[in-house]
Amino acid sequence: MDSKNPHAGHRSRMRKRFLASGFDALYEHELLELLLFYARPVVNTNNIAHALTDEFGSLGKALSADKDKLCEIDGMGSSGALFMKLMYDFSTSYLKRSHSSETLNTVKQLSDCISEQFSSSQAKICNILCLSSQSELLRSITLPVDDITKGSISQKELAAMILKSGAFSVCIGLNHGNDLALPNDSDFIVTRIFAEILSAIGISFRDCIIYGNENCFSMRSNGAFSFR
Amino acid sequence: MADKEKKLRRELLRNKYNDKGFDALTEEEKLELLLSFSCTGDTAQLAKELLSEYGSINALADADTELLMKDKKVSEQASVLIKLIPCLSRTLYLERFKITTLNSSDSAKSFFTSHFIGAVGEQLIITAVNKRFRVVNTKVLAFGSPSQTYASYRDIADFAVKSSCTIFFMAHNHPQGVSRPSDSDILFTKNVSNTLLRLGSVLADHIIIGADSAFSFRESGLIPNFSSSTLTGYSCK
Repeated sequence: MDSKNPHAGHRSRMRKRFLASGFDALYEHELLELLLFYARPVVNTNNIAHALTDEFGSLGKALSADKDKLCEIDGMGSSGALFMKLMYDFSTSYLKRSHSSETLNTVKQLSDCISEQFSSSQAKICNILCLSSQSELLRSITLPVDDITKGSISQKELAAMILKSGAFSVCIGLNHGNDLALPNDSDFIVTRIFAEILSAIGISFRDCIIYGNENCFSMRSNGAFSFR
Repeated sequence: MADKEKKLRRELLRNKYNDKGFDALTEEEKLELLLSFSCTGDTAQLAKELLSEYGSINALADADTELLMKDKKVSEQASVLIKLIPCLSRTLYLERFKITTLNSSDSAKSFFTSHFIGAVGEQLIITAVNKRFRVVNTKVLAFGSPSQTYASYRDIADFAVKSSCTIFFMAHNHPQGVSRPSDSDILFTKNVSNTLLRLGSVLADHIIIGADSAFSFRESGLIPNFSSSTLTGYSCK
C-alpha cells in the first residue's frame, strides 16, 4: 500500500525523525500530523492537523476533545475521532500506573509467591520474578531449568527478557517438587548464571528461593550465596 | 484467519470500544485495537505475543524502540504508534500541570517529573532560569546507560557561559529506580556547584527523578555549598 501512496516518503521520513530523537524533535502540529497517519492512512494529514489545532488550540486539547466535535472537523470522520479517543485513553492510562500488583518486600512474601507458582508442579522449572523499585511484581517468567543450564536459552536472551520487563531487581525461584528444599549443584549453577547476567545489566539480584515439599529455602537468608 | 473474519473482528472490537469504553476491553483487546490501526496482519496474534513478552501495554510503551523493532513482526509503523503513547501522555500532563516557575523544590520536582515522562534510559539535563526563577531554556547534556551518565563539565560551563541567566538547575532520571543519589551523583553535584560559582552563577538544585519519587539535593543537605548559603527566592522543605 505504501508504494502507491504519494505521501509514503514524507510519512516514512517523519516516522524516522520521531524514532531517532523522540518527542522533542517534532513540533506539536507535526506530532498531530504523525498521529493522524494512523487514523487516515491515505490522505495528506497536514491539513487535518492544522484544522484540529485551529479549532481546539493545541495537541493536548484536540486529544481531550469531545468525540462529536472531532467528527465535525473536515477529514476526520467517525473513524478518525474514534482513533483520537483511543489514543487519549491510552495516554491517560499510561500515566495512571496501577500499583495494585502485589508488593514482595520480605522473604516471606517472596517465598509465598514462589510457593504459589510451584505448588502443583513437579517440573524442574525456574521462575523469574521481575520486581520494580518498590518491589512490585512486574512480571513472572517461567523457564525449564535445563534450558538455562544447557544454554538453549542464551545469556543474551535471558537478559533481554528481564530488561523488557523494566525490572529494578529480580528474584528467582527453583522448583524441587517433592524433594527437599535444599540447594543442589544445579541450583548453584543457575544462581551463578543469573548473578553474572544481572550484574552485567545493572539489575540487583534479590534472592534465590528453593521450593521443595511445601517448604522454601532462601539462599540469601541462609548465607548460601553472596548476593551483592 | 480469513480476511473477511479479520475485518469482522476489527469491526466488532471497534464497536465494543465505541459502545462500552476503554475499560471494558481486556489488555489484549486494547492492544489488538491499537495495532489494527497500524497493520493489516493478524493483530490478535501479535497482541497476544507482545503482551506475553512485555507483560503489559505500559511496559511495551516504555520499551526501547530498537529492541522492539528487532522483532520482525513489529513494523516501524507499529513501533511509532506504540511510542506515541508516552509522548502523548507527556503532552497531556504538560497541558494540565504547566509549570513555568521553579521557585520551590516542589515545583522543580514537578517540572522535571513531567520532562522525563516516557524517557527511555537515563538523561541529564540543565535548565536555566531568570532571577524570578522562570524557566528560560533547557538542554539535554547527556544520555546514559542505566549505570552511568556522563557529562563533561565543559558542556555545563559552555551552557552557563552562553546563557544570559545566572541561576541553573540540573536534573537526571533513574528510569526504573529509586531517586536516591549515588556517590558519583553527590560528587558530580559538588563539582558542578563549584564550577558554576567560579563562573559567577549558582546551581539552584539538582533533582533526581525516580520511578515513583523525586529527590532534591538542596533539601537533602548533602552539598556544603547549598547548606552554607540560602538561595533567596527558592523555598525548600
